[in-house]
Amino acid sequence: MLKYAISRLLWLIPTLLCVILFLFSLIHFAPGDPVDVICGPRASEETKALVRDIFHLDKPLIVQAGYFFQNLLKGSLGVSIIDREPVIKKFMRALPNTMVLGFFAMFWTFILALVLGALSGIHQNTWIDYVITGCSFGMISVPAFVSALILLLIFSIKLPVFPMTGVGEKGNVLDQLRHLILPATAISFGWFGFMCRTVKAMMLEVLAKDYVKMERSFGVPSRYIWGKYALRNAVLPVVTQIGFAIGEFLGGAVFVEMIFGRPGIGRLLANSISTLDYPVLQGTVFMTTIMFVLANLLADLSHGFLDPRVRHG
Amino acid sequence: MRNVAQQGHKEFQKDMNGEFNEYLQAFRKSTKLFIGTILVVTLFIVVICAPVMAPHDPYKMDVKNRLSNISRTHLLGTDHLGRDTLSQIIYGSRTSIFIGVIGTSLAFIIALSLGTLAGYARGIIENLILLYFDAVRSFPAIILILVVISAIGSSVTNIIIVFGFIYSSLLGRTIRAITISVCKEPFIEAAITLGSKKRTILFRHLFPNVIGPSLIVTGMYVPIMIMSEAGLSFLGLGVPPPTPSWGTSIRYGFENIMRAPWLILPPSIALALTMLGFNLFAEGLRDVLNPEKRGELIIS
Repeated sequence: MLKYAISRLLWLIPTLLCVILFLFSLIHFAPGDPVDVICGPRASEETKALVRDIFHLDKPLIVQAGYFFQNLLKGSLGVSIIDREPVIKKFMRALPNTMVLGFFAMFWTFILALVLGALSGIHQNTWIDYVITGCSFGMISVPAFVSALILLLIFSIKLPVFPMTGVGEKGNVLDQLRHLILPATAISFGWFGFMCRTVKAMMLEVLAKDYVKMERSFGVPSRYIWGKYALRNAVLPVVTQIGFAIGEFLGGAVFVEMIFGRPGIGRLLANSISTLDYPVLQGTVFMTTIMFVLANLLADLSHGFLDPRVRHG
Repeated sequence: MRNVAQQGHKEFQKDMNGEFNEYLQAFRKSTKLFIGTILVVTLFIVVICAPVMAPHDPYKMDVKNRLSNISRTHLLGTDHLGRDTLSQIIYGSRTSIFIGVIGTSLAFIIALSLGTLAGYARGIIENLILLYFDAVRSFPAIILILVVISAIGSSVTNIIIVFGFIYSSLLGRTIRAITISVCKEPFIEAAITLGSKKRTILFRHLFPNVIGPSLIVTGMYVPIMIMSEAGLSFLGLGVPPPTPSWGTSIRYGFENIMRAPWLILPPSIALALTMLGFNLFAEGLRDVLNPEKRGELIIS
């Protein structure tokens, strides 16, 4: 187990190196001289030389990556071209908004998926099962930004129940919750579909097992069986799915944050792309990638941790 | 009681004549596959008959009637430049299907070559290919796509190429797993023992057995690509206007959401139904082709 974890972490280093090299080569993909992209067309020769020196654009990619890591060790991710603010400051300001959204959505989805998935498994082939399975399948198919828009339309514009944009006032938790509900629901639709089906599948698998039959024949009440055996076994694959879902969430967050006007990482990224603010882009993508990789790694390891059968091969 | 059992057995035998019958049975019983096929076939009819079905030219702007509501001439209203929404949706399906199918084909070709190579030729080649797969997979897909498209510019060709390379990484890993499991089959071992050359084993024995399961997994990527293209277009980085696309239609609807809130509904519904159709079709097909699930379907 420990060996597996260490080998995965070691595998991380060449992967991250490729990621960094790729990010630095991006600026060279754009048509034209990268210095012109940064400075704009009307810069003087001195400015261009200065920019070339600051961003080390004439040096090989490996050297640029080296400078990046050097800065990283000093705790800096670079400075935005547009407004000279340190990238790390922008990132740290945007991060809590996205994390709150992610955790809220995840928590909400987890509970709902467990309950509804269990119901669907227990009452298999009844109308409850059909409705829940149908809904979960439909939800998988609807992309996050589409459901976000439809929710916005129904619950913010047509019936002014929830606020349209923003994060809510700083100290007011209730207000912040109100602003969280619609985006979190939009994100959770997709996750809910997958998790619900997984829970139902696990429930069915466990309920068909011999030891469950034995317990029933002893007269153990059904609810005890559902709670103690079925749900416990069902939680395991769902937890791993949550890990992977967090990774995907970072991608979907871009859309949801744009639609609901939340100043999170997704919007930071989208803005830096549209303004071609390369340091912010590189810094944000780097941090996002690290979070994504760590989330996937945790999900993998938790699977091994929670299910002893995986550990022992 | 004996009669009932005999009758049941006779019927069972009658139904089970021939393997094709078995597939047909499962096909008829599978609601998933049925609904999925209807949706996908409808989509393809719309794509092929677009010029005939669309009431207006999707590029024609009628700025006087912009953002108009449902009317007899414009069945779904007009967008912010006066273009008919229904025609935009119909022609937008062409863009989506084109990018979805061609992008998936490209991803399949790349993933098949690299995945089979990685699964068959272990060692340093496998590690290099895995490094490529993992490096690409370590980004959340949408973010990587956004970043690359923003750098190289967005056009239909660029989008297809980027999708092909990025989605080939996950698909390639799956194909590698399939290849490894096929390699363990006895007939491969027999071929090696009999002295077949590596190339023969690869092309004559491995490929035909790997392609089958791979195609089914690949089918799942068509809706993913359609969704990604719509997402890109929604952010403004997708198919360049004026080419009609569901993503750009949604974007225009979102920009005008206060003045014409109904505009986001038609492209959203079209996108959702398309993805639903492909997902149902792919899953239904996977169930029918899997012997265990097929049996369950027939018995149920």
